[in-house]
Amino acid sequence: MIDAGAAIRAYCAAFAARDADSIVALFAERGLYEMPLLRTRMVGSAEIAAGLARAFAIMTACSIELQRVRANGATALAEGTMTATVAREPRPMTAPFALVAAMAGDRVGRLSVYLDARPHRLWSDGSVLALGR
Amino acid sequence: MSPADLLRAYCRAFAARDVATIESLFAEDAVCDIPLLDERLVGRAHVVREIATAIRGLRGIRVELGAIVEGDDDAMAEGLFFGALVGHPAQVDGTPARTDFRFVAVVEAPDGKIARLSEYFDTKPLKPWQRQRLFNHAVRQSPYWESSVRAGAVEFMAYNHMTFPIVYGRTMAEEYVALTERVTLWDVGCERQTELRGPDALRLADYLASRDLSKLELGACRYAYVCDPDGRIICDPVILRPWPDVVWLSHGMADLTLWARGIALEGGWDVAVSEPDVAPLQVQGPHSADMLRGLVEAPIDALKFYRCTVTKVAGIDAVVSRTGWSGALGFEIFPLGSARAIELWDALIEAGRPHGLVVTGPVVHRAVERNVTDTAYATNSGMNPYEAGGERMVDLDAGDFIGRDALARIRRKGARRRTVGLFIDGDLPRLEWHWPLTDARGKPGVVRWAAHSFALDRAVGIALVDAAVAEGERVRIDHPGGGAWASVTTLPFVEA
Repeated sequence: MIDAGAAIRAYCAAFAARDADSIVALFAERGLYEMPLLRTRMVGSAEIAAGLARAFAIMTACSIELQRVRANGATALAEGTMTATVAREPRPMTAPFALVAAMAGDRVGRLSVYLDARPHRLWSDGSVLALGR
Repeated sequence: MSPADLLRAYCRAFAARDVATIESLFAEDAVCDIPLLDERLVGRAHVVREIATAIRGLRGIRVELGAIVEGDDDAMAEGLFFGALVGHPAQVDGTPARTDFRFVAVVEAPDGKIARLSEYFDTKPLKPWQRQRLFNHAVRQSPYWESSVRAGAVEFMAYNHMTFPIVYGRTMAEEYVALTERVTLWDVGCERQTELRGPDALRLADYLASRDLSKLELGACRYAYVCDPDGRIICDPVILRPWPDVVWLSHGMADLTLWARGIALEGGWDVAVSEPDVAPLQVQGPHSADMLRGLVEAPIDALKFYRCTVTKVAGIDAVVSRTGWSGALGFEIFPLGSARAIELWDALIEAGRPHGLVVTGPVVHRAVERNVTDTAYATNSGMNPYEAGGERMVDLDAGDFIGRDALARIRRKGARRRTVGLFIDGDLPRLEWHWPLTDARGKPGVVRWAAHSFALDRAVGIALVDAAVAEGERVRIDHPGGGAWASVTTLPFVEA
């Protein structure tokens, strides 16, 4: 049984390791994943996997430092800093972020990343859902 | 108060536009990170200044907090923010300009006051991030192009056949406050100089302008009209005499150098007419002298209003004048050549940093409330100086000048039209062309400029109307937002 705070930590560890399968496994069947650098709201395993595939296709390295994680029942909030090397960019990007995880039973019902995507080119370059079509 | 209570109180006070309460919540050495701002805010005064500016630029603010989690010294919350932007016209389909977003806010408050407030949200949907394409072989790049783009320029005008950055993606309130309370830097490389050089320089300038320039001293500047033979305004340059045999007509959007060159050739004047490689910058705002004091070799405080001096700025040869388009304290820097343009820009940015310098375009909201217009106010209207409200700049009793006979006739008969102010009801749509006025007599004029006045917190406009239209009259404006009523008034709306 995973709680909301543990879900945030697990997400960050898996994201830094570019481990899409572990991230997808955290979510409930109709779980929602919001990530500004991917723009699209992704619902369910297939869409979340598509979004992560987009991200990990161009991201060659990533580290995430969590400054704090606070939980209250089924909801946890966190803030941290992500540093990522993106293949097409000359320098690594650094983005302070916050995370909200809301549990639906023992899985993540919603995971929302809050960061300012304005200084960055979107990782998705269009709709995540267009992948493979 | 607990950190969670402080966070709730901050959100409540923000929605209530209660700056005093917000100030009371922060520790003196508080820091604040808000994605819409360019830098971390350090110290309560800085935090409160920027939050007050944000509040000034918003109305109908609503903040709704969802989940709040709390540690011993901190609290975090997810929430929704809603606000309408003041002074930003609606989109062309009527959609109002708004700033609505979801956020996470984090407060650290180890001693009962907010020591750190960090907000996390995506500004990509909130601010323009695609730069407007303005590519035309007839339009030159300003020598400050790269710097303007780096500073966030997203919209440009073609002005005097040169790029002119006008929008940087900040709120109108941010730009207005920076101009009226601190200092701003504008890329006005497009403000070209018609240079008259030679023994007849001053005499030709005097012949071109409707204002008497015959006694223009070395180091003096004058605002003047250049008219055509029918007395219609071609442009309204600021005229500078930086050297004894050189006069610059620093002009708005008009092919003034061509005009002056033609007149010089036709009249056999002993003068060379050219457009030199001189691309100005404006440094405008109450802190402009403070910012420039260490950078300008000449004593900046000794430079009186509408005077200029030949000096160095950051070691770069330049003319500096105490002029500008803000209707208040400000300076224009005319570097002698654009080879070191970026170096000059960077030096100004550095000098301005301690004074809260903001790179902006021309702040039209301030210009309209101060009745500081430019050539564009008269362009394509057949307007003469009497109609533009510039009678004091027509010296019929001095020497001859182009348009003198026509202007003498107009003065004798009385001008058909005049320039007035309008207090406009409601919000303004985007001004894309002049809005016609109607009243019981028919169509008595057009609104040529309009903006939200932050000083008066209402919409105002400058209109060219039939001479019979009197102050206090109500007129109807036909504009794309469904129209509005307005009251005729005097100009300016706001004194310096």
